[in-house]
Amino acid sequence: MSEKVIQNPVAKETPGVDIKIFKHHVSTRIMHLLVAVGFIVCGITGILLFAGLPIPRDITALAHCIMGVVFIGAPVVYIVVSWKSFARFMDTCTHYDKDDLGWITAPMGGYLDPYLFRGKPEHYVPPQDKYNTGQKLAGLCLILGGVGLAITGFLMWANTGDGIFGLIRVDMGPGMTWFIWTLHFIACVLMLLVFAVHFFLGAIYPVTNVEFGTMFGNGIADYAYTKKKHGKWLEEMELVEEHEVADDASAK
Amino acid sequence: MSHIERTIADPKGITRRQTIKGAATVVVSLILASGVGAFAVGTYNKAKEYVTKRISVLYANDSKRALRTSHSNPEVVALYEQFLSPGQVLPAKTELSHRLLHTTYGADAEKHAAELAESSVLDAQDETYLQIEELNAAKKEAK
Amino acid sequence: MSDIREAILNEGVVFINDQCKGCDDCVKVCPSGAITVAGLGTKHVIDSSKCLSCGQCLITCPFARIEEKTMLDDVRAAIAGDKVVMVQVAPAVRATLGEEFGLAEGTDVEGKMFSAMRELGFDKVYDTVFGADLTIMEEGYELVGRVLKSLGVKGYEDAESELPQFTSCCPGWVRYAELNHEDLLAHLSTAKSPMMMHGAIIKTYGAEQLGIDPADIYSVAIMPCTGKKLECSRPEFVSSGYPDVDAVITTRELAQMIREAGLDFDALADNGTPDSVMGEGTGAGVIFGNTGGVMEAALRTAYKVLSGKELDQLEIHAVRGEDGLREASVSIPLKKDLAEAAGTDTLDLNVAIVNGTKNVESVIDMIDAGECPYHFVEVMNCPGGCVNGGGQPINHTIL
Repeated sequence: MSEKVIQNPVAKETPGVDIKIFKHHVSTRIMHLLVAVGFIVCGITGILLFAGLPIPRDITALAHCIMGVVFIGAPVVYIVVSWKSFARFMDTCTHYDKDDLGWITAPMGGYLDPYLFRGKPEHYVPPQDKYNTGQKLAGLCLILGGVGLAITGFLMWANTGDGIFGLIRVDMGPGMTWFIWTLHFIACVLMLLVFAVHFFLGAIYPVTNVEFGTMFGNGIADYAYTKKKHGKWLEEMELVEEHEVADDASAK
Repeated sequence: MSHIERTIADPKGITRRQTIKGAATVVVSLILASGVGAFAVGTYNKAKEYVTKRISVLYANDSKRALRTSHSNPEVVALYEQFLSPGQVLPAKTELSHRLLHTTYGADAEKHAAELAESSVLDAQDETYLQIEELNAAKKEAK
Repeated sequence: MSDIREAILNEGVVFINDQCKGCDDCVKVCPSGAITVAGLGTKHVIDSSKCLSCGQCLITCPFARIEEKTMLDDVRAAIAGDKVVMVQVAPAVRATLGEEFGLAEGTDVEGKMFSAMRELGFDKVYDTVFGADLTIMEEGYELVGRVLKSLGVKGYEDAESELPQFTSCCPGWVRYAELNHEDLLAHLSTAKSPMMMHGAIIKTYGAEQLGIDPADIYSVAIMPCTGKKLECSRPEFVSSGYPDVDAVITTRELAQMIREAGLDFDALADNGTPDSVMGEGTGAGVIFGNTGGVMEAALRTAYKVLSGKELDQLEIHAVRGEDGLREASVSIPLKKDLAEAAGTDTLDLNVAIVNGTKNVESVIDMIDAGECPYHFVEVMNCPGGCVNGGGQPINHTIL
């Protein structure tokens, strides 16, 4: 891992300046929390329903559907409320250049270095944007899988005897029902894989689990960590505000 | 002594590229959702199209046959003349046709089963011969 | 009575296995509300006391989680045993069997079907189209009797009175009427279904003609229908002194037998035919497998009986189609003696075709209100008729 010299004057390490990186806006954090809860409940209830275990299926299925609405509804509200953040996220996730190739050949941002190239010098990992290549790809999977789960899930629900609370009812042919259920299953497998990696790196893996506190806490990211992992992003950042703080006050 | 506390974040502005990509995501998702939804709604009736094809098989089979009315079926005519109503074609008339070709429904069906067990096909055959004789006699008289 | 017939009589033919996903597609096609709806996503169970055994749920289930009780073992044992195994095959089977072997929808495989049944080791092969023609004779004359009685024609005092007359070929519809409209049963034609007529004739007239003891005959019917398994198990169908039909297998099960026997369906001779004496059928019997087909066949014969002439145009397009309830009126010039007795030269025979049992309720409402204009009503449980019966090849397309 190389140390890059930051050119951006507001993000450059300066003696006497304590830089706080505001990574996740409050709306992003609320949306993420709702999506996380929705996904976990849907995942558990979905696996229970799929396994066909002797559980009260009606309550389980209802919980699955309602949490599905939370899982899909939160990002929809977020898109409206925080349009700029969403547009920026989509731009980041769909932008790839030679640094991304470098990240993948590192290999995988260097995460696989200790396993594949034990005892050899670490590979160079090019500086990354707010999200690194893996995160960007996961983001795309999330959008794709989420849209897929939403479309198929709502159709499955609307296709039941009463439809969605008796309000929306869609009658599909049996072949289409099979197809929609199968797509839901495929999207679910994709999402579970992405979730497994995302959860491991964000909450468990010792180097990167600082991100957990950022997302579920105040949204502030560690400067050293960001400089090391997301150097490219630091170059783009802008000043929000700065003020003088007395040292003795903070020493207490 | 004092130091400066500085907060930095994503740029406040939004670039054209970001707007286009965000909008594209929303538009593509909506098109996908409505497209799949529209397809799904249409499949309920479309899934039955094979039935129409099967129906046309039997109509085509009918139209290429030489005999197309039940009463012209020589084996059915023979069945009446040789067995059900000897010497003539009298559907739904004789005891044999009542026993073999007619039934009852609902609560009567159980009674019907018991009645069938009490008599035999031969009994019905005897009665049929009597019926036919009576009919023939009546016809002669009428002439 | 064999165990399987007993079980079918008590528990019905069709059941949902434990792997049900609760997608509700079956609930939508059930004509009798027999499939429990215990809440979103719950596994479905069929209430056998309401089930018509029509099998529409079975051919609809997107995940093949609905199964049928099978008499295949009995049939295999009979073929291997000493009995003379006679088989009849329903009109609708020839319209669909090809689909099981990759042929295009809408391929008529009549010849190959008869060839296959001979290869499978059935001793005598008959066509239920014969039974259908026989049904038209009995049911058609019964209808003529009811209509002429209503016109006060002498000599028809003994005929049944209730009009309209309903068809009784469809076991799903008959069971629906028995379970839900007991007061309506007098309207049902007393004529048996083609299968049961054919079965009774095989073990009486057929046995006599072939010089075989009916006790040595094992009678199998290949049907597009799961409901026929229940019908053949009913205790009153023993008019020949034996079970009139010993076993029923579906089109799907015939295809299974063909595959198990290792027959190359494509290579089977195209010119297979049924055996004589009880095998010949006419076009009128063939169309029994279509919604409106029984009506069309009956009208062809009723016209002849009432007018003394054949219809100029045998195709009666007014009764064809796939709408849930269709009606038509056929103007029949009465032959001289009938015209005099009835006091009218022409009779307008009003008929209705019900495609899908649920749609019969509007006709029943008319009868209850005393304003039903029809003389004859055909009811088929499965949408499209027997060609889309519960025993037919499962045909699902995504789009």
